[in-house]
Amino acid sequence: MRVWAVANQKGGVGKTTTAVSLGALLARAGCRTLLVDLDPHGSLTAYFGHDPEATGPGVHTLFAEEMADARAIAVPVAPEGLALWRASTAMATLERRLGARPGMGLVLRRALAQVADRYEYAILDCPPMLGLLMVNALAACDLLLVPVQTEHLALKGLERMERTLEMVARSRRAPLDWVIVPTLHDRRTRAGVQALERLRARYGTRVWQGVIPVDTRFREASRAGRALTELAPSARGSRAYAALLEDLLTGARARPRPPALEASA
Amino acid sequence: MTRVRSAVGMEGGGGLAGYLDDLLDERAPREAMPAPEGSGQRLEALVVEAGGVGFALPQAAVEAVLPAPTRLARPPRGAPAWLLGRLVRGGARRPVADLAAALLPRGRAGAGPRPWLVALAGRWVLACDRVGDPVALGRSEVRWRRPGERRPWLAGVASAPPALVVNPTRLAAWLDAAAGCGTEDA
Amino acid sequence: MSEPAREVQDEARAEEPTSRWVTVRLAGETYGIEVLNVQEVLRVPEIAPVPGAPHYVLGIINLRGHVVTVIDTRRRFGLPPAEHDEQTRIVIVEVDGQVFGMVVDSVAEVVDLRRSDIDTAPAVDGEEAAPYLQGVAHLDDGLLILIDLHRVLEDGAGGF
Repeated sequence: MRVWAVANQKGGVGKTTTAVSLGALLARAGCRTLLVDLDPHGSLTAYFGHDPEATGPGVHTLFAEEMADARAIAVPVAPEGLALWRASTAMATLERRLGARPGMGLVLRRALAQVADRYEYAILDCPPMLGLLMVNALAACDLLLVPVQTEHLALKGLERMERTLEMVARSRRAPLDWVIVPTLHDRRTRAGVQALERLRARYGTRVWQGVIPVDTRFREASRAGRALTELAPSARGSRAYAALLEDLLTGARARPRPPALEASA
Repeated sequence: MTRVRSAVGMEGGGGLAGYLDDLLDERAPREAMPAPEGSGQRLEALVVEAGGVGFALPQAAVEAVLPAPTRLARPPRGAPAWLLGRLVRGGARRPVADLAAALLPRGRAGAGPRPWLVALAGRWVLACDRVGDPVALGRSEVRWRRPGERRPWLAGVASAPPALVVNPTRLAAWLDAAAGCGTEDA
Repeated sequence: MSEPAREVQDEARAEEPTSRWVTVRLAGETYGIEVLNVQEVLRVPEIAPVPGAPHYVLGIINLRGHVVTVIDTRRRFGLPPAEHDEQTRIVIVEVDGQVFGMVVDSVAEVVDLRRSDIDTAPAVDGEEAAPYLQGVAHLDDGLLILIDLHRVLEDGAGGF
């Protein structure tokens, strides 16, 4: 099983949309995929019509029960082949109740190992702040996707994220591969274009070669409780995620950049 | 060891590194969590019977159920009577405990033989009389206990079905200690 | 290996050789599988079909990282098919170095048989199943049909 985490310490950058779109595309491609909602706000959970206030089994179970059975907490969501570990608002209290108990950062990794034979992919939707749940995601993943909105202030938050990643990579004693996904990109605005340029100049091959455009139909899909890639496969947003997935799967995610351009940054 | 209690406001600094190192400590045992407040969560458990008493073993801790062979490798000299011997499984010799004789008060265990074995994840294999169907124990159907000195393995008492809910991690530690030396894999 | 270990549970009946059998139900009859060969009993997990396998092979399961072939025992024995339910179990056996799983309607109990309990020249109804049987034993509550595991996988079911 490959585990991808979607995280950024800044909210509203398209994390949930990224998780939903990639999950639905993978499932459509015949890969059994597990979506894991690690955000106590439960946007991913709510996306599929589940109530984060409810107390059914989900991610919280894994942390609350010493011997939780990870095989028993998934709920199926559309399309076929996609499953969800739900978030609950009770997760917001985990930090307070469990504090920083040694080893608690490995709960998710161990739970995913229990279901490794059931899914080809797991996609983790992370909370926007560094804490127990985010550390669990970073400890469990093979690849981290960092959606970054191409706007003026995006780079600031990214530097903070970068420091966090370095430290987690050191503590988990394994390198952490990550890729920046430019999101909510509006190529008609100068600010958007400049931000994208700055992003590519600063992070080079860490930045995915494409962009996820602003597309009002994402909101429409969210209201319908379905992935846009399901609702409108040919929408611009859908095609962008399909391209992202293809690049992630083939490893051709960054555009080769002429050295001169790098140097001029 | 200094630990940062909360994740909030830990920008940079040595505190964050310590916090991360602790959280990602592979050797840390998984400690008992406080039962979640007022949640409707359920514990998937396998209920086995030994000496007329039901024991609920968390499903996640159960590696395998198998009928007991007629012969087990001999237990070490001087081992307690409840240590029935060792089961050769997957190339390892794993100690087999008579669940009732080990855990119930003297005289309550009843006589063996216990025809079924439950291999726990880890080392120990438990011998019992009957293996029931898995059940989902509701939080409210279990009276949870704080780990006690006398029966540290007892996590709680379930009412429906009636069973002693076992904490498998603490049970293994308790059996290790009670069996004394000589149960290591040969 | 050192000298075989002594019995720990059955010393009382040491006079005559005994064998231990786990009894399983198949289409209303009780069958016995020798415990010596049984690795474990489990509930039915997800079974992945194997294209091109013999007709009585249901597929493969992932048993803690090991791939194990599972056979439809009813079909192998020429018994009518049945849906899996809550009682359905897979008995994982090892015989002649091969590990495979046998789907049974349910698993009942464990019995010890003395050699004199076993009738090795039985007349059993159902000709198709007969090749896989090695004898019968008469229990208090009926007939126990003993399965000859060596023959169950013959014809190369494990050969893929």
